[in-house]
Amino acid sequence: MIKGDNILNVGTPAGGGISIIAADPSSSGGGGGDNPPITDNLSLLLRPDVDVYSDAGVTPAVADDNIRQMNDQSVTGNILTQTVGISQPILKEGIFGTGIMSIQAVNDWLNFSIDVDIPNTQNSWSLYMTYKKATSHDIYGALKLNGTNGRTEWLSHEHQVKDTNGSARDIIYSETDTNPRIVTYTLDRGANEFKMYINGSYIGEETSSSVVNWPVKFDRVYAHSTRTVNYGDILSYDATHDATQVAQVADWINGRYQIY
Amino acid sequence: MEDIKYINMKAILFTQEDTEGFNALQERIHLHLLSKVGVDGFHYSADCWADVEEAYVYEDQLCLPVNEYEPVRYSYLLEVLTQEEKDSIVDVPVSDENIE
Repeated sequence: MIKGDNILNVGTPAGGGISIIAADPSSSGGGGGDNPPITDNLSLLLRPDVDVYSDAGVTPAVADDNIRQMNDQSVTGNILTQTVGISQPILKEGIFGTGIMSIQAVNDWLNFSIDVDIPNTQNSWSLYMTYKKATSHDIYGALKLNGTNGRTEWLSHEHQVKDTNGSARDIIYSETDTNPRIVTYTLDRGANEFKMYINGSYIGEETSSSVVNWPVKFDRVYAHSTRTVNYGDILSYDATHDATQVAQVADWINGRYQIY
Repeated sequence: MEDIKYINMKAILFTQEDTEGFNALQERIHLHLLSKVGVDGFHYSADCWADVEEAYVYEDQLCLPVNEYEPVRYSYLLEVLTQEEKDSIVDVPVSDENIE
């Protein structure tokens, strides 16, 4: 079989046209293949080693370049940009174990062309973020909605996701080191469940507040951190992944970054 | 209560009325960096160095940030500053709450 000849996903991006994501057979079981093991309902796929540019989409960024543009690899076709020089993140090599590229940000961010939007009418959502803090301090990263308190937070004692009004849903978790992590949040409004996993393993769920009326939206990424963080793959699905699926996707990311 | 953390940002300050001064300096930095594109493989692509409309305000003054975490860009940035401008760099405390 020819590498890349297995077409898994054909869709229409919001900007028009047709997008095709091809998956290789080697990626189907996770372990770092070219495409995620699950592509159904994949609405955002940010890979620091693919389609990252030092200018407006012409010159691929190399290690230590500042990033002006980055292209989402999902069928959504999101285009991320930062045209202000001081706010551009940096492409780094060798921060994670495999030497794979990562995106380093401190007081930086990239703007989405299409918001990551999970309104109350959307029942299902799963978010994967790969990161390594440079210090053990609390980090407000990586997704943010400008002008509000909407964001994700990695605190020493818990993780929080704040909705468009700043209303937080939190899950207790101790994080006082700088170890790299893959965090996953899954939302199922129908079941009123918001769960969290680290490195593919279940941590806990929101127990005190409903997630039925809790609209989440972000317009930028790698944002809102006054301290250095390196980011790996970020994936968003318009679906609620169960524990098996979370482990499958996390294992695929881990194959690329060797985190656990 | 939320635990708000602070760091220092290195910046040159302008009065809020002096947007012209802010823009003049950020443009000098921007043009200098553009002039270095291609030197030893240096890349830089932006519309401006800093946006006065989004500038952080500290004690009623506009902050033009001069921290730069990429060492080559930082060395070029220092090249364009006069000694007087370098001497005017101050540490501005910024909380995570203030960073977009």
